[in-house]
Order: sequence, then C-alpha cells, then structure tokens
Amino acid sequence: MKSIQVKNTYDLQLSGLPDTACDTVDETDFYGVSPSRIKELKAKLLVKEGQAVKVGSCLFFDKKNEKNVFLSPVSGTVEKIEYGDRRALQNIVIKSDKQFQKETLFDKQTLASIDKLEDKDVADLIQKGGLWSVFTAYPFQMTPNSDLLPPAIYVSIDSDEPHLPQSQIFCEGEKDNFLAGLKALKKMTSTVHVGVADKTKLKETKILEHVTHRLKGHYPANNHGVFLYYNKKDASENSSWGVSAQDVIRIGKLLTEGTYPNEKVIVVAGALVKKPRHLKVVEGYPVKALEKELTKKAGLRVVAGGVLTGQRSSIDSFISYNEYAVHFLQEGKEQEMFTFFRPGFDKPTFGRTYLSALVKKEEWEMNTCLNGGHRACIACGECPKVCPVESHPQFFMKDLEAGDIEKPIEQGFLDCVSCGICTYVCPSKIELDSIFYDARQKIAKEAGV
Amino acid sequence: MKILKDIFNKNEHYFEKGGKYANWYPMYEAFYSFLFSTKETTKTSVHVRDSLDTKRYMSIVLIALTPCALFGIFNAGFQAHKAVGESLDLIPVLLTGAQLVLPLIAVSYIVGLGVEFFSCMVRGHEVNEGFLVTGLLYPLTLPATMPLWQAAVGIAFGVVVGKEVFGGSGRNFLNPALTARAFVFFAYPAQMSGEVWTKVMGAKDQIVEGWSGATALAVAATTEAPQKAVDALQDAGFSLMDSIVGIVPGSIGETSVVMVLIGAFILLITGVGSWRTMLGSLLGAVSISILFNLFSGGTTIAFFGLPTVWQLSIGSYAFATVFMATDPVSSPGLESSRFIYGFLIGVLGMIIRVTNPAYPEGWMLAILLMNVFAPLIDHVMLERKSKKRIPNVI
Ligand code: SF4
Repeated sequence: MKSIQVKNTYDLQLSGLPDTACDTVDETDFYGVSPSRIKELKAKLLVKEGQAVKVGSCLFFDKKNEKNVFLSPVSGTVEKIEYGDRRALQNIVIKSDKQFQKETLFDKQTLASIDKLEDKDVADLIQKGGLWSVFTAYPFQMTPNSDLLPPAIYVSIDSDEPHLPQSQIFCEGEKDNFLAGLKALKKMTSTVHVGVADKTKLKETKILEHVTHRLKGHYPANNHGVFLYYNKKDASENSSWGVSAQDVIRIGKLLTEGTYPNEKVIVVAGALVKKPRHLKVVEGYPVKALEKELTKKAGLRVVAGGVLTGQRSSIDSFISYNEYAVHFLQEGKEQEMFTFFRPGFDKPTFGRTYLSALVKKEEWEMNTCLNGGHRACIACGECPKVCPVESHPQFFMKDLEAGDIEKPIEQGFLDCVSCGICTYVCPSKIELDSIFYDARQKIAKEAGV
Repeated sequence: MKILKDIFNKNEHYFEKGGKYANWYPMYEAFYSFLFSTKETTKTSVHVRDSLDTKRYMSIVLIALTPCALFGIFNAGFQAHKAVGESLDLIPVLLTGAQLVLPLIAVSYIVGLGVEFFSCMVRGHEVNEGFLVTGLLYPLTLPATMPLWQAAVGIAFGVVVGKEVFGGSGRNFLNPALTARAFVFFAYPAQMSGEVWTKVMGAKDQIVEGWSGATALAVAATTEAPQKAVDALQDAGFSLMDSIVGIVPGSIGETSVVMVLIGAFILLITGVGSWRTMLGSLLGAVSISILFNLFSGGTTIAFFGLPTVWQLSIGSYAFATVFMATDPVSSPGLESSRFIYGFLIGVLGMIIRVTNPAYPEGWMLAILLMNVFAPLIDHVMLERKSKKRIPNVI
C-alpha cells in the first residue's frame, strides 16, 4: 500500500461533529427530490402530477446526456412539481404509499456474472439504475459522458470535509455490496485506485484488502481529485473519474438486487443540531422532518452536503441525489464593535492574526457570517498556503478577471478540485470558488465537453 | 451602541443599489464596517468563512507601526529641544514632538482618505483598508519639519499615481506610501535633504554650539579617506547605541532600530509580514556591505568601509525593510519570489546608498524599482513551477 502525503491541508475543527450513532428515522408522507441542486442539469421531466411511480421509476433525465437518468426513491403518486426562477425544475414531491414497491430494472447480478460483462454493459446497467451521476469526471468535475470510459477511477473511502458520513458507519454490513461495486468499476477501466484516510476508523478487512493508497492530511486530503493529482504519472490520467465509497456500495447493491438502492447513510450536523449524528434515510427524505432535531427554528442556513462545497438548501427541501449530509448553521451573527481591534480568542482562523491561535480548542462553532467585506486581493498569500494541488488561486483569479484563460490552464488551473478552502481563508472574501467554477464551465464549453 | 447600529441599519436603504445616495455607498460602508463587524453572510458555498478580514490584517500593521510612531513623536521633540538647548524632560519633549508630528499624520490621513473616498465613489467599490497603513507609513518617512501643504500634495500624489490610476488597491504595483515619499523627495528637494531633520525652534543664534543637525548617514557619506567613517561618525557625536535606540536626527519614524524590531516581531509572529522578504533584504544588505568593506582599502570613499552593524542601524534601512518592502500588494505574490525580491532590495538599496552621492538614502528607490520588477520575478517563478507539474491542458 502506498502512502500519499497531501500538502497544505487544513483542519477546520468545525463544531457539530456527528457522533457514530446511526439511527433510523420515522417514515413520512411526502418525499421529494430537488433537481435544481444538480449543477448544469438541463432536466427533461418524465412524470406529471398525480402519476403513480414506483421506486426506480424514471422521474427526469439530463437533456445533454440522455442516459443520465434520475429515478424515484419512493413509490406512490407525484404530488407536486415545483418550479423556481426561470421555470427551473425545483422540486418533485412524491406522496409515499409507504410500500416502497420496487421496479425491477434488470436481472440480478452476482460477482461472477458481473465479471463476464463487457465494460459498456456495466456502464449501461449503472446508467439504467440511475446512478451514473455518482461519478465525477475530471478535470471538469461533471457527470461523465455516457459513452466514454475513464483511464482510471479513484475511489475515496473516507471524507474529511466537515461533516460527511464516516466510512466505518456506512460500510457496516455492506462489504459484499462494496466488492460487487468495485468489481463493476474494475470492469469499466483498467485501473481502480482505492484510497483510505490515514486515520480511518474502518475495520472491515474485506474492504481494506482492496485499498491501494493511504492519504495523509486534513481537509481535503481525501478528495478523489486530490488523490488523482498526487497519484497521476502522466497527463493521460487527467480525465480519470472519482467516486465515493458509499456510492460504490450503492452501485454494488443496484447490480446485485436489480433495483434502485434508495437507502443511504447521511449525517445531520452543524452547531444548531441537538445531537449531530448519522441517520439511515430513504433518499428524498424531507428536511422538515429533521426540524425536531434543532435547538432553534429561525435564522438558520440549511446546507445540503459539507459546509465548504455543499449547496444551499432549505427547510422545505429534501435530501436529494448525491447528498450525504444536511447541515444546520446559524445564519449570520451578532454585530460587534471594533471587531478588528479585539484580541479574538473566540475567532477561528487559519493564520495567527487573532489570539485564538494560542488557544487549543477542539472545535469552533461557525456561522454563515462573511466575517468581513468584499475587497480587492491584497496578495496576502493565504490561499496558496491551503491549496492541496499546489497552485496559486490568487494568480488564477487575476488572470481570469483579465480575461486570460490560457495562462491559468498552463499553471495547473484544471488541477483545481473545487475544495473551496481558498475561498474559506481569503481575508478579502473573494469568491474564488465561484470564479473558478464559471471559468471551468467556460473552458469545458470551449473544449466541447 | 445599539442606537448607533440602529441608525446605520435604518439608513442603509439610502445607500444600497437604487437608493437615493447609492454612490455614497463606499463612504457608508467604510464607516459602518469600521465601527461594526459585518452582517453580510455567505450566499452559497463556501458557507463558513475564516475570521480574518482585510481590516484585521491592516490593523496588525498599524499596531506594529505604533512603537515607531510613538518613538518618532518623542524623538522629534527631543531633537528639537536638543538643538536649542531646551529642557530634555519627557513631558515637554513629548509635547513638542506631538505638535510637530501629529499634524503631519492628520494631514496624511485626511487628504489621503479624501482622495481614496472620492475615487471609490467614482468607481463604486468599497474603500480599501490598505490606506489605514499608507496614511501612517508616509508621515513616518518625512522630516518633522515638512510643511503641511507639501505633505498633503505628496500623499495626494501617492494615492492617485501610486494606486488609483492602476485601478485602486490590489491592482497597484507601486507602494503608495513610497510613491508619495518619492514625489516629495523630487518635488521639494530643499525640504527633504540637508539640515531639515530637526525643527529649529526660535532664531538661528539660539542653536547650541556644536549642533549640526546632520544625519549619521550624511556624515558617513561625506567622510573623506583616509579618515574612517566610524571615526567621523563618532567625532560628530554619533554612537552606535544612539543609532540603534534611535535618538538621532532623521525621518520621524525611521530612526529607532529597536522600535522597528518590535514592529517586525509583531508582523512576523502574526504572519502578516513576509519573513522571506525581511530575511532576503537582510542578507542582501549584509552581503553587499561586507563586499564594500573588503574593497574599501583602495578607494577614497570612506563610506565603503563602514562596518555592517553601522550600515544596518543608520538611516531608514530597518524601517524600509520591515514596513515598506513587506507591503504585500506591491511585493511579488509568490512566497518563493519574495525572498529574491527582498534580497535584491537589500543589494540595490545598499549600492545606491553607498555609491550614489545624489541620493542620501537608497531604500526608497530600491523598493520602488523592485516593485516594478515584482511581476517579472513572479512570472519567472511561476514558469518554473509550471514546468514541474504534470500538464493538465486541453
Ligand atoms: S487569500 Fe484572497 S487576498 Fe489573499 S492572496 Fe488569496 S485571493 Fe488574494
């Protein structure tokens, strides 16, 4: 097993760390999915209000990639189809019949039968099973084109973004599914790299046997893009894919059962949650049903996913596709006077400009306050200090603003994995991640991806 | 305090986009955010943010500058009293010093901020905190006798030419405080060189016998061989100790190496000032000064032979290295370039100081020159770094 030391990582020590309990939740009447949070999706809706659906019925697909279908996680009837700004498909709400009747998508597979499949056939089954979007195709970090196969697939077992499910919990009792999923990945590409955190709590030897790399460092050392960056030997690997371990398990489950794997382990976390912990839920579970877990109900920010890369959600939303965490954070904070002349023992910070640098604190309670005004870059040099792929966000940003896209690409812009940590540390509060996202989309478009 | 906050919040709509006074927004934002922490929140990802903002960052520099400023007030008064033989007790000295220095600082802030506010309103972007530093740095580099109006013209020039014509803070490549300093140096040479460092209060005949008012630098630079520069300095009444402590004539804030070191300590421990720039500059200055020492035997310029400790303690070397060279905006952006940048400043500044009689001090020009070359150093370093990467292009 190789070891990879990831440079420039940072431990945010965010409070509200989920403990290792994994509870089940009460069933509810209404489930839903939120297509609006799937980036760059051009949805083609396939259901109407009042229509009956089963677990695995196709709800919509992506017009740019018709095989990237999204399936219903529950059975029942489509209650409501909600549209947001510019008639973007926002939510599809389904009234559950509480039966969870599953549509058979294809014949059940076994390890042996998967082994006999052709690479394209495996891809086909995953696409039919509605799990194609679990893959991230680098360097553009999009759902891969359906008829391309990658040079390599990077599986990352752990996740260090605050906070996402821990591997020892979601792998519990799932080793066969993991192995089936891994087999499927191995059919699709010549090399599958499996990385595990140096400090992983995973004990399952049947899974650990397949690990190829140990990843050392704090956030985002276990990001599959970072893994790819440190492991690649030449440029041919740049278009590799990444996938998380829980998705490998779900792929395995899909293949061996032939039905849509609608269950997943998520975390409910953040400072406003009474007892942050893991939950086993059916996909589409309403966020509202978690309200009883909170210490307060007003002034909150709901985040779907981790607090750095996750998207803004709301209390009326759902735990949708590819979302493995719900965070409840305090929205903003009390204004204080002359904050910049205070010693700041209570202010979490990457550098040493507040005296908090002297306090050994286990975790910090963070809120969504910007903690400063938007300013021009002062070249403080904080962002390159946290960049895991050893690039220089401030130079990219300046070149991109000046309309130069070539220079950043030459300097490794496409190695950026969108971890968002540069945006986190920037004292000028420059939205580096959004600037980079837009630029990446533009490059992808020009490259015809 | 709540009342004040409410006033701000209640009137915010006037200044927001589409409000009645929308183009006054930068002014409103500057005052509001000076008093209170922001209530602005993140819009999407990244949802949580670090506590550091540019205000905190710049206020650390202000704190680091404070010892120099306070000592500068003392020393300006001390030198003035010494010249005419007045009481050297602390209180009268401080009072005189304050009378000399505070108006300069006030003018620098008022005029500089005025220009800054104006251009921010024209451009419609927020007022940058960088000026808080520029506004204090600049007067500390002036002689205490500087006429206020000239100081005002200087800072206005510095902010406009050093910063605003390039598109404001963050886009400027020259250090605005130094640009201002350079402007007054060339525009008002009579007020910026010679016996200007000490305020002579009263008539010329009140001057104490034997007082000259020349700086150590001037004495060392004009020493003629075979006399040694050190001896000339000692004859003129300079001791190494005085130069390090800073009770010598010179620019307001630049004389005391001790105070600068306190500032350097604050900048380094907080990580706000780049240690690479400072170390580079130190190594550059030391190596050139040693080199000069080695060749001093054959020349007629006694200044060549001045020992390195003296070179580092007189003039504005320490201040320029710690506060001017480390300005992040006009430095190269890469940490690795910063070492080279600092080193070249040390080398160039020392060469200019020692060999060029037209410029009594070398750091201003050396830093401004390196400001211009900073992007080039970055460019070369980035090329080198890019070559080491596995290409990821399309
Ligand atoms: S952290 Fe922000 S202000 Fe600092 S160098 Fe990077 S982009 Fe510029």
